[in-house]
Order: sequence, then structure tokens, then C-alpha cells
Amino acid sequence: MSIMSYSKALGAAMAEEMRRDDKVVCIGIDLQYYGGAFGVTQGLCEEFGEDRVVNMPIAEAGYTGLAVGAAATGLRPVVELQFGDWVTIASDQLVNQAANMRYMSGGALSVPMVMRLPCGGFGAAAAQHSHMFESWFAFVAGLKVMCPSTPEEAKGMLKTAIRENDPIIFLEHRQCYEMKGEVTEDPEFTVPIGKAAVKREGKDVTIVTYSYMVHFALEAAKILEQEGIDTEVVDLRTIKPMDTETVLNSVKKTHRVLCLQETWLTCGVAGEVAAVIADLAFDYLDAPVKRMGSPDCPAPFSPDLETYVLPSVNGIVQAVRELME
Amino acid sequence: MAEAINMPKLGLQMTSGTITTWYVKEGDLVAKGDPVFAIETDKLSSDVEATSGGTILRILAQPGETVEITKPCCYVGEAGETLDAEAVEEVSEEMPAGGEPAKRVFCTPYGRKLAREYGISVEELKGTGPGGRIVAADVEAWRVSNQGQATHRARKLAQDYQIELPSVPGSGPRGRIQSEDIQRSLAESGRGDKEEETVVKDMSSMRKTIGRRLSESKQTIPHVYFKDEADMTSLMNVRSKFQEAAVGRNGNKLSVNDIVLKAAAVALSEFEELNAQTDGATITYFKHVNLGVAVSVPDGLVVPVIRRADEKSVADISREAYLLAKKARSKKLMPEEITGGTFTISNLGSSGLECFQAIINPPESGILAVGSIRRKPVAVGDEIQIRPMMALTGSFDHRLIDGALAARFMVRVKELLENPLTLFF
Repeated sequence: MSIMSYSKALGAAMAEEMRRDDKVVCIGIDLQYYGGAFGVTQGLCEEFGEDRVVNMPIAEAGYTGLAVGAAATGLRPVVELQFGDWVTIASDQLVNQAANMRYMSGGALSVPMVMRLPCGGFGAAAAQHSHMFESWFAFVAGLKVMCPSTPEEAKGMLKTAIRENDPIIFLEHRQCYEMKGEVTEDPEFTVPIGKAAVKREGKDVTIVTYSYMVHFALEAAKILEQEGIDTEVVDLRTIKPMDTETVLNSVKKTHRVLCLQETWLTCGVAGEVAAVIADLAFDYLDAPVKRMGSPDCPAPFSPDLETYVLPSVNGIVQAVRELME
Repeated sequence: MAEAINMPKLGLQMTSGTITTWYVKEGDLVAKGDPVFAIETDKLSSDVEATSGGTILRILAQPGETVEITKPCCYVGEAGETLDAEAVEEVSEEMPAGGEPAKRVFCTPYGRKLAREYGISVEELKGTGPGGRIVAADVEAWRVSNQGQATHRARKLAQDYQIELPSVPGSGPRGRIQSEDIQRSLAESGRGDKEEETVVKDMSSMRKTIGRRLSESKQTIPHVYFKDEADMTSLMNVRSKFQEAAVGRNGNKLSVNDIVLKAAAVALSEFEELNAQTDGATITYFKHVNLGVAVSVPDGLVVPVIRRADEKSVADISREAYLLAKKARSKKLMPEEITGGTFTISNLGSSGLECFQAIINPPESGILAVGSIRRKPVAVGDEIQIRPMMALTGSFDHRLIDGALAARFMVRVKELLENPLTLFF
């Protein structure tokens, strides 16, 4: 066990998997000696050489397509986008090619690749460097979506993603990169795909969330505890396939639920969670299912405005209070 | 709006029913589906359930009173509601169910679920949630404030075991604690030892009816008993000869009892005085033989009636007895299928028992108790032979049947059984 940052944990996951399997390669912008925009791949090129840590030009559609082809023909590429926002450029390769390859080839081909998307707000990075597109990709049949919130889970989940035989959209929140936490050194430690985690047990109300918002929810739970409200926090970890069982069990216990996400609320993951709960735990609800996310507006550049637009700990506390009325 | 609970029509020929028990009193709260009162007709007894939740405003008929079908027995409505019985009756006739849109009660799904589990009607609750919505806490609060309501027997049981009532969750209507709840609580806390020695249960309404009718019979009818044995040698031979034909025709086996039924039907048609019912004041004679067949069912006994048995062949009787017994066991008998008999055959042959005496099923004139067929040494001429013998014990209502008549009837039944061929033609 050692104390490690989220970004170092991700780097360790890649290093371990590259040591274990020489089919694993890293593809992206400035990965080799710069270590990528957030330093996640630092040291990999030194250990594994330029053949396995490959630099790319600013051409997301091109190198994502290259990775899809490489995956279909035997490699296990881990693609890093400098900013997750630009996945829009690469999305034809992901949505039309990677997601459909296994099905359209009658099972002859698979696409074992990971798309690493540094994403999320709170960085005053403006509207083209702050958004999250997990709901886009969770919508697509054939893609799996993972969103780790802690260093140890980042490591265990990235290792799982690399070992999966299908394309994984892996969202790394930029506000998590410098977070530190205990990380096991066991090279066989992985976090199963499709398994949520109860990050805090409580009996009065459930917050279902993922990624960076897990930390907001835990902060809010501390404040609510002083008011006598015992909050349970469920970290989905994998958006798709979703661990509905853990969510439903929690709701059946607390009877009240806030579905929390950072990004735009409309057609988001929070709505999907709310629908599952309304469908399968209707008789257990003692208050309307509440959703929380951002309004339908681009991420502002101004830090004050961005904080105003994105969910806040106080906002979560207020929403839970309303649920408890 | 107060709603009437009416006397139900439970059979084609039911015109009225008698109220036997009220499970509630005026002012009590009932939930939809709670048993409210018990009724009975000639032989049928049944519980009547509340069709909506509310307070029992007025009870219109006391136990023992007879109410015509579709006429109100009580009114259920909101507590404190003033009731103009006539107006309500008119309204309920003019406006069938659903005539007036019910006021929408806002309650969370979990609140409704809890209320259902506790047997509380959400209409009774006050909501403290946003906009007056009823939430689970309101249901819990209602339950806590109404905790400790218990049935009489539950109270007694709790006293015996020195249990505090409110500590036990109630499973009855509106959370009322029932004796089963106490017993469950005892078993859970490992104090169930005493419970194993005795288990107290409510008599089912069928058992109550059987008990009441048979007590009445034994206490008011002077029973006179006659016993004899019939030599079944020929009958067994005949039965085995006709067995195959009967199965082919009806699909069911030809039983000894089917032939006994036929013999009794023939004998009864010859003894008109026996083919009768009495209420103690008048005697009703019947042109045809309506023969009761006692059928044991899981929680009691019923006596379906084969009508015009005197006109039916052994095969017809066999078929009908088979179908009636099947219906009895699946509780599908209609009231008209268990009334109107003049005489009953009760056969315990399959039990292996030699003989027994039966209690007359009023208002019938008698009952024939048939035992098992046993191989016995009997005198045939001057020799002792082993013969299959069957005990017949007749019970007769001495008020209308004298001993000599009953004796002749018994001898005739025996004669028919010992010469069974005549029964088949």
C-alpha cells in the first residue's frame, strides 16, 4: 500500500498492464517524454520505448481510427485525448466503428481499446475544455463507460478496462488528478466493471453519483450529518453497464434519492438513474426522485460564473434538505 | 359519502341471509377487505368484507336477523358523518360504484406501501409532506398512536406470557395485534415452548356452522338407532362385473357406496313417510328422493344432494356423486346443491372402521352410517362361512318415524344390498 495521486495511479495501471501484456500500447499527444498534458504517462516511454508509447499529431479522428484498427487486429491500445471534449472529433470512429465492430463482423473481430478522456469543470478552462460526455457514450450500444473517483479505483478500473475485450470510454476528472490516496501495489488488484460502491452508509437519503461529484456528495453528507440527516453515497463507478442492484438496494433502505451529476442535466445519467428507480423501486419512494446537474449552458470561463453554474456542496445540501421535508 | 354494505347474493336461489356475527361495532374503523360480518343461509356461511375503508356508521341488523339480498346491513363512511339512512340508500341505488369521483389523496408510493402493509387506509391520514402529501412518517405516526390495539385473544395470550403489547408488531387490519403476532414474537424470542403444547385458533366459519347445526340436531331431535349387517357377497360380484362398463361410461370407478346410494334411493321411494323433512311443527313429504352424500373436505364436512335419485340409474348416481364430491373438495358447490335433501348416506368404509352412528342433518328425517366391509364368520344355513359383511347403522328422527317403520326400512335396504341385481335394472 502506498500513497499515490490519481494521475500516478493511472500511470501505474498502464505500466503494470504494459509489463504484463506486450500488446498494450499507449497512443496520444505528447505522451513520450512530456508524459501527456496531465503527466499521466510520465516514465512509460523510458521503460517501454517509442514503439509502445506513440506520439500523435493533433488529429483525434485519425489516431482514434488508427487505434480502432490496431485493436481489431490484435493490439490493446490505450488512447489519451488531451482534453475529453475533443472526443466529438473522434466519435465517428467510436460510435460507428468501435462500438459496432464485434456485431458487424459476426464476432470475428473485437476492439479491446480504452479511450482515456481527461474531462470535467472547475478549472476555468472555458467551454471547449470543461465538459463531460459520458451520457453520449453510455447511450451507444457496444460501448462501456467508466468514471473512477479515487486513486485506487482509478488504478483498478483502468487495469480492468485494458483487460476488457470491448471498447471502453474512460472518463478521468481533471480535478481528481492531484487527489492522493492509498493505492494497493498488488498488480492483480482490479475493480470489476459494472459494480458500484457505497462510499458512505446512511439510512435517511441516498445520493447516487460518480466521478468528481462523489467528493462533493461526501462533503455534503458531513454537513447534513450535523443536521441529523444520515446520507448514503453511492458511487456508480461504471456508468454502463450500470449496477442498478446497488442503487435499488440503497433506495429501498432510505426511500429518498438525489441523482447527482456534474454536467448538463437534460438527457443525462442522473435521469437514467431516476428512471430505473421509478421503474423498479416505485413502492419504496417516500419523496419524488430528485436530479441535480448543470443547467443547459456552456461552461463559463469566469471562475465565479462556472462555480455558479456547476453543482456545489451547498446546493447538494439544500437539495437533500428539500428531499427530507 | 357513506356507503352501504349489502347482503350479498351467494347463490342462484338465495333470497336472503341471516347475520350470525358482527366483527365490528359502530364507530370502528375498517379498511377495504376487512371482514365486517358473517352471514349464513340454509347451509352456507360466509364472511362479508368491507368494500371501502372508513368508519362503521350504523349497523342495521343484529345477529340472528335475516336481511334480503342487496339490502344494506350497515353503512361505512367518514367518522362524524351524519347519516340519513333513507337518503343514503336512495343515493347508493341511483349511483352505482364510481358515481362520484373520489377525492385524490396525495401519498408517496412508500407511504402507500406501508399503509397497505399495516392495513391502514391512506384516506384516514393527514399528510405532513410538501403540499400536504402523506409520507411514510405520517403512516408510521398513525401506527404508533394506534399501537397496542389487539384482539381479545391476543391480549389474553400477552397477559399469560407477560408480554407488553405495543412491543409486538400487529399484522391484523390497521396494525391490530393478533394472537399469531404474539405467538410469532414468542417463537422469535425463544419463548415458544409453551406454544407447542397448545395452539389456539379461531374456528373457521364452516366449523362454526357444522358445530351449531349438529348441536341443534343432537339437542332437539330424538335420535333412534338401528344396526344390522348386510352380506355383500353378491354385491361385490356384481360390482366387479359392472366395474369396467361404469368406467367406460363415466370415467370414474363404480364404488360400493354408489350402489348403497341406489339401494337407499329405492328403499326411500318405497317408504314415503321416511322421504320427508320436518321443522318440528310440520312434516314435508317429497315426491322424489333427494339424497344427501356426506363428503369430507379438508376443513370440515359438506353434504351435497343428488336430486331425484329414485329416477336415476346406478351409473348416473355414480357419476353425479363423483362430480359433487369433486366440487365439494374444490369448494365450488352452489347453495342449491347442498339443500333440499331428505336423507343422507355417510360412508366411512374406506377408514376400515366397522361401524359408527351418525347425527341427523336437519331438517332431514334420517341418516345411514355405512361401515367398512369385513370378512366375518357367519351362519349360512347350518354352516359357518366367511362372508364380506358391511355394518349399516340408521339414525332416525323419532318425532316422525316410529321404530317399526325404521326397522322395516333398514331390512329393505339390507335386502336390496344382498340382492343387488335388481338395482341395476
